[in-house]
Amino acid sequence: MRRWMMVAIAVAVGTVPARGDAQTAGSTTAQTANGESTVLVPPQGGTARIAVTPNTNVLLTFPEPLSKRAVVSTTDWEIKDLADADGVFVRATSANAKDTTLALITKSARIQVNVTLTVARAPADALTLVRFKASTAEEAFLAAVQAEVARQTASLRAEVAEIKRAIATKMRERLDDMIGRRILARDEQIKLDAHDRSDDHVIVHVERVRFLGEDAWLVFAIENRSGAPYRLAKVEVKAPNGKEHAGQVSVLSMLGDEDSGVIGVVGAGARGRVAVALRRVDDLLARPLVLKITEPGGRGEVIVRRGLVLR
Amino acid sequence: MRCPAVAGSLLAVLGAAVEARADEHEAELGASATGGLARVAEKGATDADTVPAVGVGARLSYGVRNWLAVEGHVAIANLGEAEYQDMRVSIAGGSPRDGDLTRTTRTARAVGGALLRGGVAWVPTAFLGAGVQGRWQGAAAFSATGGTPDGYDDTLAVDLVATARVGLDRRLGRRWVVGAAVGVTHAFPLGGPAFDVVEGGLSLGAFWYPL
Repeated sequence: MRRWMMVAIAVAVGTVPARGDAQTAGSTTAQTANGESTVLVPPQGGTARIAVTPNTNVLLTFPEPLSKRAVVSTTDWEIKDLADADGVFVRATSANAKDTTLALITKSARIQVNVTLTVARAPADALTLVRFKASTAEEAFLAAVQAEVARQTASLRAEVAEIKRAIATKMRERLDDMIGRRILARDEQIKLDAHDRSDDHVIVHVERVRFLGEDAWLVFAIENRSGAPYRLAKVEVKAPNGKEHAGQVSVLSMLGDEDSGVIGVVGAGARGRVAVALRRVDDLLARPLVLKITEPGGRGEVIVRRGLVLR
Repeated sequence: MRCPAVAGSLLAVLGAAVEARADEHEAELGASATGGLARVAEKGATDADTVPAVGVGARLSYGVRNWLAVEGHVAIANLGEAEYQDMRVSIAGGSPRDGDLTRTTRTARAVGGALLRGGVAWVPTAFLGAGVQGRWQGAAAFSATGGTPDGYDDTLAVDLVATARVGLDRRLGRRWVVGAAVGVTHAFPLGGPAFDVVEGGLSLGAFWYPL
């Protein structure tokens, strides 16, 4: 791509504000952090807008000495050439300092930049160190595109995050509302005392059922007295007609497991707790239910056949 | 009767009233065969005699914790003929005579207590309990004449008993358990002669969740 085309595109991209600190045109703010900023200046020269805090020294550095002609103080701005370094420092003498412009040119004229100094509206926007670097037109263009993409995607990311927060808030509100309505409809807990075990010393203790509205949650513990972990893969709650009623399964006090299809792992000698949702339990009342848990592949089956009657 | 030490010792190692080891909330119903040695005293005898004891038992336990169960068991035993030497007795109101007496005893006892359990598949156990025991003493026989001396007719003695036992069970799966144990029972006689027994036995039990 020809240089004039790149310059044209760079101009079309426009200024590249970065955190509102060093806004540039024809130049590019490569990065900013902790009040620092780096400005890439293309061969044809560029501009930069630098916000500062009043009465704070701000250092502008260059890769080579500056032409002395550029360093001129005003009433509102104190501008000094650094004798031992390639740069100047600037300071706004008051909060009411009016914007001023500096034309800074290095001795070799590799960097020509018109810097506008302004008092920052917010302390977070202020800079204390700005590095000017010479760049090629391609580098300046690329940096400008990257900066603009970052700026635009940042706003998109913020928008998406805001949408997510709004959705989460709405979901939470609706969940709270649903729970509240169910509590008003029916909120009752019934103690159960049903137990059974496998040949491998894995024992299920069904403790209680919690009715919330038209649904209920069956709460039970898995006591693993075997010498190997028990990997819970499936929970079934069946009515006498064989119809499956188990819904969402929640676990507590269980180890995590990366394997797919495993709800939770009860370590050897440990005890884990499980709650399984039962939808529309009115159809299940006063009927003997069967609770069955299994490991992957149908192994480790434990079936509780007695004592599971909801009332 | 002479002490059948060898036979009794062999039986003793097999375990007495062995209880299966239920987990918490789990009940067990079991049966056991026991054998051992009983030391039975007799009124008027200077020395107690040691005789073999063979019996059967049944028990019921419930696990209140994985490591603790409450247990009740009943057991009956048939004791060998005890012999008491140099007894002075009279028969049918006659003059006292010196000689040997022989007598058999049967026992039935009911004991309740706590059972400590120390495992899952292999289960070391320890039991401590107390209960009552009935002792049916048969009519004594006077060796010289074969008659029953005065005051040695059939009688029932009642004891309070304390039992301690240790054992090892092997759980065979969800339902079954087998085990072996040895134990000792000491009687606190309520008017009868002293009595102690050391027993061993084998047991078979079945588990279920009653609630």
